[in-house]
Amino acid sequence: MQKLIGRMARMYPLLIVMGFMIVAIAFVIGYFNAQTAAAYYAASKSVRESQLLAERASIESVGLWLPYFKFLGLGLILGGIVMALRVIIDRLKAAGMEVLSNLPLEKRPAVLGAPWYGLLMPAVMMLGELIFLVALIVSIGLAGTAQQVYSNPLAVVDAAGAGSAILTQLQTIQATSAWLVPLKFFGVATEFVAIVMGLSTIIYLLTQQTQLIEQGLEIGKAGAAAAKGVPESASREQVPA
Amino acid sequence: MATVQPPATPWQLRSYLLFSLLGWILIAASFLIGLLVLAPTAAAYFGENAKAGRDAAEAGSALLAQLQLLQATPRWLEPLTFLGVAAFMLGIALEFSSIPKILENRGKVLSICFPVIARLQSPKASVPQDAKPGLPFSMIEGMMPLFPLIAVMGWLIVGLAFLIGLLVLSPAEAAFFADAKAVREGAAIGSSFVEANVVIHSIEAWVPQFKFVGLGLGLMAITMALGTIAKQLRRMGFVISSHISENLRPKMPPIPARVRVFQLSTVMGVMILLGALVIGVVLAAGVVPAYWSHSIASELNPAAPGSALLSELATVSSYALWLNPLRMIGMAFLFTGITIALTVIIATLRKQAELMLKFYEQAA
Repeated sequence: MQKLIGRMARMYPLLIVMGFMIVAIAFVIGYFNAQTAAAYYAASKSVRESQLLAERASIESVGLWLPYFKFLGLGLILGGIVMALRVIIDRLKAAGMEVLSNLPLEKRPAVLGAPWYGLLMPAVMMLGELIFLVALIVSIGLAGTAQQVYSNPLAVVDAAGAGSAILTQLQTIQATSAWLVPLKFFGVATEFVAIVMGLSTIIYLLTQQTQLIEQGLEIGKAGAAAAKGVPESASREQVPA
Repeated sequence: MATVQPPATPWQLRSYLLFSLLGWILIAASFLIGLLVLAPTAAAYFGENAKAGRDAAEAGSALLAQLQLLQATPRWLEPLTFLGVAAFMLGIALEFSSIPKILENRGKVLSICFPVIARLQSPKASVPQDAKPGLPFSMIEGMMPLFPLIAVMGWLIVGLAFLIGLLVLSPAEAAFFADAKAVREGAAIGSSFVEANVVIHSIEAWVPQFKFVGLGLGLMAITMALGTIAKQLRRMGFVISSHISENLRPKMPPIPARVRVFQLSTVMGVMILLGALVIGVVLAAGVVPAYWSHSIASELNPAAPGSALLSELATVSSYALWLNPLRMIGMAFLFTGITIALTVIIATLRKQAELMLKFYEQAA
């Protein structure tokens, strides 16, 4: 499983490019939505509320799904960074093994496995991506509802009373957006946690490698001294840091 | 020796700066547009005109042009700001992507140096320690090992903001939109509609700022972890060189001045986000509930130009237009901190490989 994750992690540039493209596309869509809004608000209130229904429906529905699409892009970039960290971790491990391979196999210091947070990092990253996807799917549903609500003249929407379908739809849009907006930020925070887990793993590996290289150098020196016939103690003058 | 060369400059290191600069330009532009164009326009549109006047504005009038600006501009400005955030992230991703190659080279360099160090059998010298920096940097560095705790704190804060949205804001929205517009706007002070409206607007004034403090803590934890990695790399360099005799020992370069810059940039980012939270709390406790705790139809809508209610509306309608981009300036400082911290790590990795290769050449 870990090997498979390691292989998949090498595809991180694809995720990063895709993510950036999505955010750039979101900006372009936002620009066109702004043009629609400019045209809509150029008309007087009575005209726009009774005649420009399609424009209003488009402005409202794009405003509902676009932020989540944009955050999916940001999420993919963050996911790409997490995967890049995985590649760095694998390369760091390989570099450490390469250095220690100078010692005979039986004298090589034991290398410990990755810590729990290192193993959990891809799962946390995927959880973050899942949050972005769920938020986007829900927002597309809301955008569809907004399209239905605002295809009615605003006077009809405003007059919709308790229990009416239009008011229930409006209520759903407002009540759902209240938790959906912070949900996408929760996705970002989850990706940050995954990045911190990856960086913690790097710190763990570097600390371990510093100790292993030091041990390895002592073993190597002792081996070289033995080969030359020099007493082992002569090569040690330990002054702890 | 032969085949191992000093680490080449990866192409990513020639382009990341471009994206970081782009990030700053886009975010700073959105802040300036918000502060100097949108917020004053909103204050003028809502603060100087009664609702009846605003609603009666004809096509081509100055009033409608203001409304057009206020409705259209944020629809492209907000995605532009996030394009700036994405540019920062892309710059950071480029820096990260340059590291695997440098590590590969480092592994080869250390691998060829390892038997030479062992063969020379130099007695181990003491491992030097970097001098403790003065305040405030000693405090910042003292906090660095706490980065996992800070990351979890940030995550919990954003999680709490989500729970407030789910358990407080969402029911308040449902309560407010429970009846027709005429009923909700005609409701008197003390009614459930007015109370729900106050809750909605108060939460919207402080919770987004609170949420961004959480995100800021997450970014701060990342910078602190990168700082810890840079320190650990430096220690590793000292440990390896302590096994090399003095005449061949590579001279470790001093701590780069950029370390202080990324630390200060991070502190600045968090301070801005905390400042935005304080402003949000002040608004949520003051002008926002003071304005919305009125009947919309009988008190807020008839408010005349020059009235206290209309001047409160000017504040309530304009603060988000400059406060939201200000938060992004705070985030830009935090991203800058991460970008610079990564340059320190990359420079350390490359310098250490260069020094070890120099040692190898001399020892050989």
